[in-house]
Amino acid sequence: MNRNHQQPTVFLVDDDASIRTALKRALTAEGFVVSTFESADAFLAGHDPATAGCLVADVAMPGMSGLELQSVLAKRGCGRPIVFVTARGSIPMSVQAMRAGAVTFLSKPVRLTELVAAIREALERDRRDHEERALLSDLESRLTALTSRERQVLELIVIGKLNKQIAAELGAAEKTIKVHRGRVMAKLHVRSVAELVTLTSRVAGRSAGHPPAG
Amino acid sequence: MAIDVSSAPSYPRGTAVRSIAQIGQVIAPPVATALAYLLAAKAGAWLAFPSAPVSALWAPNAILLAALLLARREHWWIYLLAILPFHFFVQLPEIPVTRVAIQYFANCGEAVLGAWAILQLCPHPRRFDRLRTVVVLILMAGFVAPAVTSLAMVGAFALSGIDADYALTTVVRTITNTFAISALVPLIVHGVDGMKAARQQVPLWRVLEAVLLTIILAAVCILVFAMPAGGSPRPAAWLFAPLPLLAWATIRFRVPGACSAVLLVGAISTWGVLNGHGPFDVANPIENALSIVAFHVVICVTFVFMAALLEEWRHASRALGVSEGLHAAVLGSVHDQIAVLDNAGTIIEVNESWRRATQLAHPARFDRILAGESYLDACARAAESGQRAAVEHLATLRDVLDGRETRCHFEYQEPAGMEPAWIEVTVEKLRRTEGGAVVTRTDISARKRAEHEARVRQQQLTHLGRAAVLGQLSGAFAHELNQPLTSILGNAEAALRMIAGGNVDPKEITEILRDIVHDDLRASQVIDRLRALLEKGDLVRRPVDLNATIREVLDLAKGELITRHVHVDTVLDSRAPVVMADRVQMQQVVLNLLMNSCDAMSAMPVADRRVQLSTRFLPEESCVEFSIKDGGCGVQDGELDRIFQPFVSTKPHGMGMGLAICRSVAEAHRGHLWAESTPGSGATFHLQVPVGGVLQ
Repeated sequence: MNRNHQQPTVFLVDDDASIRTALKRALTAEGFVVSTFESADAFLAGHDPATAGCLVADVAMPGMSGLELQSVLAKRGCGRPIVFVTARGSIPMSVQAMRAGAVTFLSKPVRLTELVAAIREALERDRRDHEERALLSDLESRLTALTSRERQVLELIVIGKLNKQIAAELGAAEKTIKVHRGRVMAKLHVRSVAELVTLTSRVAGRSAGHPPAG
Repeated sequence: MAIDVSSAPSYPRGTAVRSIAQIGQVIAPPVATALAYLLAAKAGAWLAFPSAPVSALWAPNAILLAALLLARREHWWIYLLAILPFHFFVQLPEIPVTRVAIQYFANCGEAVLGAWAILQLCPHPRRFDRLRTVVVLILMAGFVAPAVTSLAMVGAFALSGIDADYALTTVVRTITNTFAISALVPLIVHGVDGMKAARQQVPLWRVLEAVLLTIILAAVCILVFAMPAGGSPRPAAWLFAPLPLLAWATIRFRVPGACSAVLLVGAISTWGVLNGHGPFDVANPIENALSIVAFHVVICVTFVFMAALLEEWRHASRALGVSEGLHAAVLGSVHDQIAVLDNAGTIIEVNESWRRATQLAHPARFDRILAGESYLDACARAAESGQRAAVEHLATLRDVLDGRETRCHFEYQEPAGMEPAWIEVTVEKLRRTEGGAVVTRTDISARKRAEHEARVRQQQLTHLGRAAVLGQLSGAFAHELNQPLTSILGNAEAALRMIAGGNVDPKEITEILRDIVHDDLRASQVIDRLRALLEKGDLVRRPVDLNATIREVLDLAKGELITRHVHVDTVLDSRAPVVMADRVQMQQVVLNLLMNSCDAMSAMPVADRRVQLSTRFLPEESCVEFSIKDGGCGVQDGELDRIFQPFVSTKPHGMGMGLAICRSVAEAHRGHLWAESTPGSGATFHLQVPVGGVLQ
């Protein structure tokens, strides 16, 4: 993955050409890489969810609205952080957007500092999400390297059982369990039991389908 | 206990009593007539000249005629039958039966013919105070009927071999009957009708006057006709002595008076001649008889005529009095100011309202004139001095007085500097041979004020309706305004950032500033349009391009349409000419109809929310038609016209004023606004505005 070497992109979706021009100018001057789209459909066409970046979207647009775009992305499993900018916001609308995981909901005309702060937060979140996703996939690949016996040992370690207890439970010699334990630690690149517990709980939380922490 | 008389069974006895009473009612008049006939025949015989076959007053035929006039036609035969025995009873012993029979038929024929002629020819056959009735009485009943029956009678005599002086008999019978019928028939008919009418008590002085007149007339007649002359014959001038008294009777006692007086003169003069006295006792009895009967006929005809003429005159003057009273009452009761002008434009008469208005009017007003002054001159003088209302007055007056127009009217406002008032003037031709006109002035200030107020109200309402629609769209307008503001802010902050970063490219800064200007103009355009829609201004009629209006409205409502996911199609006819209309009100109607369509589709799936706005030029009707078609829920058939009524709304929170206001706007432009709908598949609203539309 070359993601870490590239600057993240700000995807700007607004039906108003003047706004696209103006915001692109301002954000470029702030040092962002900005990519503009005149509609949600144009944005979705050929969008690579793996690209680092965040979405700055208008709400009221002909065709697909900003909120609809948000739900389409969610359905596709693309958790790209979204900053909504609207000229005509309402409280129910913003509540819906925030519930669905939007970073923030800004009113037009928007101050550059506010927008930049929101974008920074969104990019940060995107980065963290990405890191986490990378970490987890790394972890999952490491977990798959374990044998079934090692996996059984791991499950018992993380619930706080001692080697002797594990040996008794699995009907093996304590020595053997010690060897398994050493292999698990080595395969998962951890040095302490505490680290092992943290890692596995993260994988468990992920597979239980919790939304990404905000 | 109540008994319903009408439903009670009628007993034979009661029926018999009733029918006897009815028969009595039918029989009594003919019997009375027959008795009168008998008496008159006796009197006639008594007044007959001993040596001539002439009676000075032969009244039976006249009595029969009067009785027939008073009776119903289907009962005439009873009268004719009733007199039969009496006729024979009077004449039989001396005169042969054949002759008596012939006379009977002649007398009956005469009465029937006379009565029939009067009934046929006179609209009021029993009113001998009418000239027409009197003329028919004297000519037809008094002369033609006796003459015809006399000729028939002598013809029958000749055929039956009865010897007589045929010519003399014919002449004498005719003229004696002329006198009797002319004098007696009106007297009897009026007498009987007068009794039937049960008049009010006759005043005593009138009775005294009648008695006095009778005594004087009788005395004069006795003196003239019945006193022995005593040697030398009296001068012929004595004959005229009764005439003033006859005139007195005629004038004071009308037709019955004239008849009675003439009969009295006739009776006394006849008695005089029979006794060998008076101016008519000059030659042989036949000549005497003829001349006195001729005298009777002349005075009778003269005075009965005179009486009828006097009655006609009295009647006419009474009618005139009534009409004058009516005229004065009508003129006086009218609130409008009325002046009657002769054909030269001089005021003949004004009513009380005119008089009062003239007294209260400002001294400078030219139409402050009264009867006797020339309205035309007053207008002409004022017109020369440049008063606009007077010019119009003058032209209208001349048109009507010269017969070019029969009715004209115009309105004008009282000249400045006085209390503001609107006057409506109507000039109507006076329908009489001399010409002239009637000028009516009506103060219509109240009406004008009410009209003005109604107009102002209508405008206020229209404005409120506009404000309400715009209120619904406030969010959309915020959107429209925030878009350019966002661009401006973004551009400005970009420039600031570039300058702060020391990264200043003049070309880029210029571009940024140009964009800022553009967006600023865009924002101010939105504000201008909003302000125009919110302004309270009066109607301004200017050439309006409906296509442009529709585009502006769509621009204004863009945000709202996006939010509501309504897709708009436009089919605009580029041939459509401009219409003379109020641009803002046209926008209002288009916007209102557009919002209604959006509301009608709010429950539809997003994909079905489509509105089509179209224009069409209709050269034959010389109008441009704007139509808006939606795919909403549609309108029920019975509601299609009702939705344009105020306070009728199909929306849960609608005031029901939108469409009512739209229709009033359409009507103010002499256009039409109507709806068509197929329930379930949407509605179409059409607005037609005439190309040369004139605002009310």
